[in-house]
Amino acid sequence: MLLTPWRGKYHSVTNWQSQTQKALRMLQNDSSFCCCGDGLSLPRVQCPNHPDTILVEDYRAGDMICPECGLVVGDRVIDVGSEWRTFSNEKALKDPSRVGDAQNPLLNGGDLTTMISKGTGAASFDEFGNSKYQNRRTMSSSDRAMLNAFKEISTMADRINLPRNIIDRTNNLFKQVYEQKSLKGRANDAIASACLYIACRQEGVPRTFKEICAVSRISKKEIGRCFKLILKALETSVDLITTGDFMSRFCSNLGLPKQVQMAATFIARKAVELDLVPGRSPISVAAAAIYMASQASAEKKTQKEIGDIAGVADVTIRQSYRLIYPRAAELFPPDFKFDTPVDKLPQL
Amino acid sequence: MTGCRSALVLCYTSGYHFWPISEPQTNTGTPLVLYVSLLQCKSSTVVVFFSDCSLLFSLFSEDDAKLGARRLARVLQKLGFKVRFSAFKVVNVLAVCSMPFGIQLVDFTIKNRPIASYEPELHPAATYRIKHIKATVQVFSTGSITVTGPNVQNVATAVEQIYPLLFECRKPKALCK
Repeated sequence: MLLTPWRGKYHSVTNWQSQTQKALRMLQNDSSFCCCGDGLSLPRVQCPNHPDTILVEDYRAGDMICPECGLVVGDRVIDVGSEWRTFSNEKALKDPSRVGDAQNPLLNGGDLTTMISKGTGAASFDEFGNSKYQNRRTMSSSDRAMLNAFKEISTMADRINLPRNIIDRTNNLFKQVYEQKSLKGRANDAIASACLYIACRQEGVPRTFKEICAVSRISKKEIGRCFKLILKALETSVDLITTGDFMSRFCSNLGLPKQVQMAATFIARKAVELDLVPGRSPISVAAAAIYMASQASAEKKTQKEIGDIAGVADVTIRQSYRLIYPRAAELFPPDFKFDTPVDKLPQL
Repeated sequence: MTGCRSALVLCYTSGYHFWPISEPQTNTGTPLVLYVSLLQCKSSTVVVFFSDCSLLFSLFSEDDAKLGARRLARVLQKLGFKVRFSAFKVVNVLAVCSMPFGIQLVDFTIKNRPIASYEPELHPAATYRIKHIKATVQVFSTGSITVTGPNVQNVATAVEQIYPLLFECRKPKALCK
């Protein structure tokens, strides 16, 4: 049995580097890994004394070390992160990242293809003026549709300034739906829009269908259909929308001060509790509440303005307003400062 | 049943009480409506489509549906079409029912989470799908519900099943206007 001074040697902090040089030489002769695992699964690198501990990776030396006993179990582990650090403010002509972007293993399934970019300099063109090395190698076609969809999702999300976590969740949802293939006939854009809607809902910041429609080329009907199909395909359900979810967004878009926003939130919640608006969509109720609160304060907004922001028709606001008007006095918060008293509120 | 546009135009001009359901603007033409009288007190409104389906409204049982379809076939026969009443099949039954109380849809949906779904932006009703009898119940906040199912028995069972769930989430009388 060949004695391997490196493999099986207990590492100490001081002499890692020199040991690594020795190990590389030794390991060229020795190919026995400390691997355990049944024949069906891939050999998993484990510490022979502590098979259950999770190994710590030392990326500088490329080692996997057992934290219990300090045994170096695997080495020459390749780091798949980005090779150099790149800063966005550096206007370097060449991109120092030779290995490409960090892998996105969750979404792409291991993108190991090589793409050839346009050449510079004279040698890359052959005699007819065409570039010698024809463009980029096609990546796997199944990934291509998904990458297109991710790009579309990112464009849509960018238009309404959605944060990264929602975009990631949308991408994950899209990947799950795409792999299931149950919605294969639907346009990818429709599925992407519906995934975006679901992701916003799941994160607790729902967007109305009309808001998603505004940034997508798909009709509201189609997004609604895809939404229901996706919920069925993934067997999830989402929370119901409430009036409070939209208040901060609508009010800040209208430029209303915090007091008015809080008053509108209170009015809408009270109206729903007292069941003054049965069967009305929460967005219409929210719009009517904003109208009432703004009319009672110094910043009066017209129905048309509120309708534009909320995506609600002004007749709808009028109808919901008529339902909450009779009990307006109870709906306002107790500490609200009235610019226009309750009895002088417009009666539509 | 008739399968082409000219046939339906003939029906329209035949003198029977056929009339189109709306402005004839679609490519395939518009379905025609016929008022069919079944028996002395019962009558049904029939909508004839270009495909081989027709809808019969205001009926109370499957036997009545068959009778109404036979009446329709007789009318077409009198117009000169070669009609033979062969495979009669009731495909879908839609029933409307009204509860004496209003229903709070939000509570109803929360209590019956995966089976019930409510999207106020898309449709004002909460949808409750009963899988094992293949019936869909749409619940409105006024208390009226619509039930669709493959036959009358399923629809009746669905109403019985859903009544206790609706009763839990009813609106107390004081809040109703």
